[in-house]
Amino acid sequence: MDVRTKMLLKIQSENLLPKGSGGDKPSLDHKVFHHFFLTRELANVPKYIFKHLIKSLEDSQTIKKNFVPYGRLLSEIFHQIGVLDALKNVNCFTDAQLGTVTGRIINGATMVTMKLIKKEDHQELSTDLKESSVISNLMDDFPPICKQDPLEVRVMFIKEYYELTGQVIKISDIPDEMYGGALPISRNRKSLKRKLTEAEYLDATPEFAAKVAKTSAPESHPPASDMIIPKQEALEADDSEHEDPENIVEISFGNSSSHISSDSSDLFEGTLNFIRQIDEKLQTATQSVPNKTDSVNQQTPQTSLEETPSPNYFIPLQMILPEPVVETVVTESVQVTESESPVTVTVSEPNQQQTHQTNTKQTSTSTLTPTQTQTQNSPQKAIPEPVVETVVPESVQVTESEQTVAITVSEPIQTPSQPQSTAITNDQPSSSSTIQTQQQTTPTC
Amino acid sequence: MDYFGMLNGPTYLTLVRHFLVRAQLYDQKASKLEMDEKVLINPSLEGKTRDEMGLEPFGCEEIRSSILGIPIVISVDTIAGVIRRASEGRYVFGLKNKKSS
Repeated sequence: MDVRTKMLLKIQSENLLPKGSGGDKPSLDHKVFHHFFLTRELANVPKYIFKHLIKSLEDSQTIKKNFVPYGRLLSEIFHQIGVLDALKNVNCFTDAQLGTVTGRIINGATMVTMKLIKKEDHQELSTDLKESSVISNLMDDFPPICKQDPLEVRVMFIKEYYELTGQVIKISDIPDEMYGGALPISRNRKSLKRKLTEAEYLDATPEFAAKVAKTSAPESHPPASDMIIPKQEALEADDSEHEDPENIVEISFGNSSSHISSDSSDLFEGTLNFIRQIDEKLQTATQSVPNKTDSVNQQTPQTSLEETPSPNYFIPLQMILPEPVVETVVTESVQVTESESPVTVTVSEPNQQQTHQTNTKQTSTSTLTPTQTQTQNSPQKAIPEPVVETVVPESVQVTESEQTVAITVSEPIQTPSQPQSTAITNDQPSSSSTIQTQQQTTPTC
Repeated sequence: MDYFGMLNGPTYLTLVRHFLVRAQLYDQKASKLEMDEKVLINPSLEGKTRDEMGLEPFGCEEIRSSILGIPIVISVDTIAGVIRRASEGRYVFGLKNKKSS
């Protein structure tokens, strides 16, 4: 017999039809069965095994042959029938009680002992079969995940399983617990005290959404015009939690007038009158820019609402005026500069501060000659950026002047352009003398 | 090949020992003995079928045993299910060596 036949016979005599002795002298049944293997003829292996088991059973009962075949096969049958589960329920499942052992393995070393190959030719590999004590699963196609696993784990497993097999595992098919007991999930003290519900476990957003709906829903995504008002209302709502839930809902929509109390309404009217007076002054001071005052009047109600809870009525105007007003002032001033001279006006707006621009409105009556502007512009460019930004509105103040001179103010950041601007300003007085007298600018601090 | 994959696993010697000590073969011969016992107890049942004797019909050969009071019956189908292979194919039995000499 060649090596292949000997090895097949060895496997047969050890596993398929174990006889408890060497395979040197096979019986007739072993020969026939081996013949089926060599000729690749389909043999009824279960029946061969069953008949061999019966024969060994008869031998043990008649001739008292102490040989127990198919130990592993019988153990697997016990496992599949459910005997092991029954023993596990009565706490009789330890290896010592069950006498758990593992059988031998046929590998290259076996061929060395059989003297089929030389010892030098044999080399142990890392891929050699090792003894395993893993119990096989009872259920086929059982997904190795459960709802105790994190959501990301489940999603990734379902995704990979779909890529491999093309089958989709539904979330409803995932069992609550892994078969065989609970998973060793590490929990902190808080989670041990309070069990998470299914909704909390699946998605934590409902809890957050409920909190937002109760307290400060508009804080999450308020409109730009209601950035301050809802906060005050939310504070009032927190103070008066006994109010109807409808009011809370209204707060969430930003309806402010219905929730201001009578005391606060008096303060509200007083502040409105005060701000109207200020607006009138502003209108008189900046008559050349009507749109500016309109924009201020449009936004004053919002600013007045800001001051309602605060006891200090005399807040500086700088704090009351919002940003968009200032920006409109700058742009309008640029538009108003009607230059009849060939020189074009190029006003570059650096990042301006609001406070200085409001000052420019009040001090618009002061006049400056172009030489003064030159003297002011020249130090602007020598000064670093933050200081120059405050001065830039001065050049913008040309708005009310009827002059024909155009002023070019380069960006203070661009220091190389400094000589160019100075050159232009030097040319202005020489070109036209009327320009010097009629120009009116407003110096600012 | 599932059979060889199944072989690499734990073997419970105690359970196997309990099983084989009490194992009995239940075949055609054992079924006849069972019927004879019924007739000896009640001679009026002689010549009647198993159903009339109150016995279960004989299906196939089985190995009957018990482990810690749990009845276990092993048949060809049981083994075929464990090794994940149908009980099909050729089976040759009853051969005897014909020695010419």
